Amino acid sequence: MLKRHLQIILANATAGMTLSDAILDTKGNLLLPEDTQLTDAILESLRRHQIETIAVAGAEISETENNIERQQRLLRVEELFRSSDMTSETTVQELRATETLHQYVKNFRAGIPS
Amino acid sequence: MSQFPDQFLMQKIEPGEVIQRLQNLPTLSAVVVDLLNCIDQDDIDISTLATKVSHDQALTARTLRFANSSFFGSQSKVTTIHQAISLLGMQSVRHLITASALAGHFPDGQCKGFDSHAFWRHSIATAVCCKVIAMHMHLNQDYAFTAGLLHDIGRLVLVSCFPEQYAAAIAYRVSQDCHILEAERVVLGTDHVITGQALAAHWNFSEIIQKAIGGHHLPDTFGHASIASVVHVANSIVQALDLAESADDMVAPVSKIAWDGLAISESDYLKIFRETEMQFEAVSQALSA
Repeated sequence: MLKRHLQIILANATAGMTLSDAILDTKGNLLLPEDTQLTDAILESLRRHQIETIAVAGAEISETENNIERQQRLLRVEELFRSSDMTSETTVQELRATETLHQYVKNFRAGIPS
Repeated sequence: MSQFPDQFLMQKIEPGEVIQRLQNLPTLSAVVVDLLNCIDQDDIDISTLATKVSHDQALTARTLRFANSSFFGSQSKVTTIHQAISLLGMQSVRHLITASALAGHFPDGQCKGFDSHAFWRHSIATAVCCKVIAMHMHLNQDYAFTAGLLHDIGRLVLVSCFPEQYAAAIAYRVSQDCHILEAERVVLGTDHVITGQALAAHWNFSEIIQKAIGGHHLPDTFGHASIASVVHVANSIVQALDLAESADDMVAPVSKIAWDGLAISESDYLKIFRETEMQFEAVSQALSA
């Protein structure tokens, strides 16, 4: 089973949730490690540190479900990039820059759970 | 073009017509003009701004609602504009006021096929992405945010001043599955870049914002690493990340000169994608609260 991450704003976080990612302050210092279970006191402290959003662990999903989701995300990327050849103004050079962006977004979507 | 159905004929807009319709748009409130023209002044006086905002009932209400929204998780209720500005920060207040004042400025629902929800999601996401890129490149983040927010404002001009013609351009875009810019040029004989520039000049936006609006589809003319290049690349990133929630969205081609000018590495782009998605989520939750 895999962990699913949810990015939520601090005001929607409640005690009992578990951090799926470490929280750093603006200088990069560790405030809370991964897997910390949130309490009211911790939430208050995060508010004082002006943390706006945090990543918490969501429901677990199976590897198969995760693969299906990844495939769907990648199909959507292909759909969004469907026109990279069309307008007469599109030069070969533009195609290269657009194709590089396309590749980066594919890597991004393939690499991280939603 | 082999097929050009009748419904797309006779929809051309004359350049003079755009200027004439712009004269009929209500003028922006003094507060918004002030805010747009002093983006780079960090020392703007909170009391002066608070007083100006307080003179505009609608702006006051929106600013307070934003300050009291869950995004900021404030423990006590914010009741004055001065408090709101202290809590939110000057820059956030400026961005918020600008966005909401502009949104309220253009009537909604008169142009068939125009999805204003997707339009604003795209504009706000582009603003956020521009700010994130500017941060990575040590450029002025506030110029970048504002330029991103306003880059497509010419579409709002077309939607509100020429709703029937613009509906035909949207129908053409759907039928040909092409970019909106191309559909505008074919059907209207003008496009949102030209009308956006005309509006920016008419409302006396600062030169840097005018250039960003004018150059977001053709940034090569404005030099490397300009705000126009940032907006151009951010526009395509936001489409590629599917943030507008528009089913038939399509990524606009990226200029190689703009792309190379920014010279951002793949690993930095991946960080920019992630950061843009996170910040956009937070901002849009706050704005819809």
